[in-house]
Amino acid sequence: MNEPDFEQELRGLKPIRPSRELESKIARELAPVATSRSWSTSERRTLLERLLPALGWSVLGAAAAVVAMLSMNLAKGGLQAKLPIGNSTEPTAKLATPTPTNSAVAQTGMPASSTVTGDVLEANDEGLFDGVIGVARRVRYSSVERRSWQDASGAVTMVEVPREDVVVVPVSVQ
Amino acid sequence: MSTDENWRQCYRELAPKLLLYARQWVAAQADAEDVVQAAFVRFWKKHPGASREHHALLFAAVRTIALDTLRGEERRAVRENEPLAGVPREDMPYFDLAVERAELSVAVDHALRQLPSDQREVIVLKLWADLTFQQIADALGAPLNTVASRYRYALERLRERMTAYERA
Repeated sequence: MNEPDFEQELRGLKPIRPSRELESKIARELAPVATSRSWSTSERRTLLERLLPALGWSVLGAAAAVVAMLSMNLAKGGLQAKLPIGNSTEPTAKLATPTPTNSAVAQTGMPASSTVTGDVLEANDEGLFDGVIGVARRVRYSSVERRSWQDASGAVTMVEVPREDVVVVPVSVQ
Repeated sequence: MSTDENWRQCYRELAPKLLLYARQWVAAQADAEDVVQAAFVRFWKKHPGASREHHALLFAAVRTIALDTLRGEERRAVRENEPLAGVPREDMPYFDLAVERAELSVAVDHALRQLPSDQREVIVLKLWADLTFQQIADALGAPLNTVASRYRYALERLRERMTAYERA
């Protein structure tokens, strides 16, 4: 059998039809299109649902950074500054003169320096799609972001956060 | 023709093709139908008066949503320490098993499942979705020549595997 005949024979096969419920489900979802109010509501909800998972990673990173900072504060005497409640003059005097010297930095445990680095692990071109901004190409980058903080005593705290960024570039289809 | 008739006509023409395409990643019939539903609704809300030249975008939407679904499944499996067995397989056939073509359907089904995914999606889009090479290239974000050569390789492999299957 030559190639065109073979192709023709394959084209003769009919893909299985979806269930009848699918058409009615789509009909239900497309019904509110006529009223702009319900259309915009469902669109907003979809957008929020799509943004929430992406926000999750950055919130996780920020939370990790806050936990690291707090733990450094506690370990380096943050507690000591609050403990002598009976002796009211000394802490008040310290708080009143917040001079950012090296010793003060070491005492409070605040980081003297911080760095952010990252590695892109994978870039995946997902092709064209029809989104809010029209026809666009979507590229998904998977990467690891590393944040580190170093205090005056040389102690280093590192946090590694996986990231997934989706870059959408509008394209014109001819 | 009203908008309602428009989408229904488009749906009736494309639904089996979209479902076959979605099942290249999401093998379970019910999950693949969910993908088609999401893609179709999203597409139609954006293009209420869509015509034939927009069909490639609809297949692109199915691909995007199917890949998202697949990635979500993979992440969940990793999180829950489930073994990853690649794309889940389901025994539901790809093609209608009409009596006069039942043997051919089974042979093509078997051969198609063994193709690499990048070749399989091109051959599905070309043969059963009736897209041109240019439309396929646009939908996949791949060069035209790459798409054409994937199709040739896929067709050749399909023929070899079908021959082997029929002999067996």
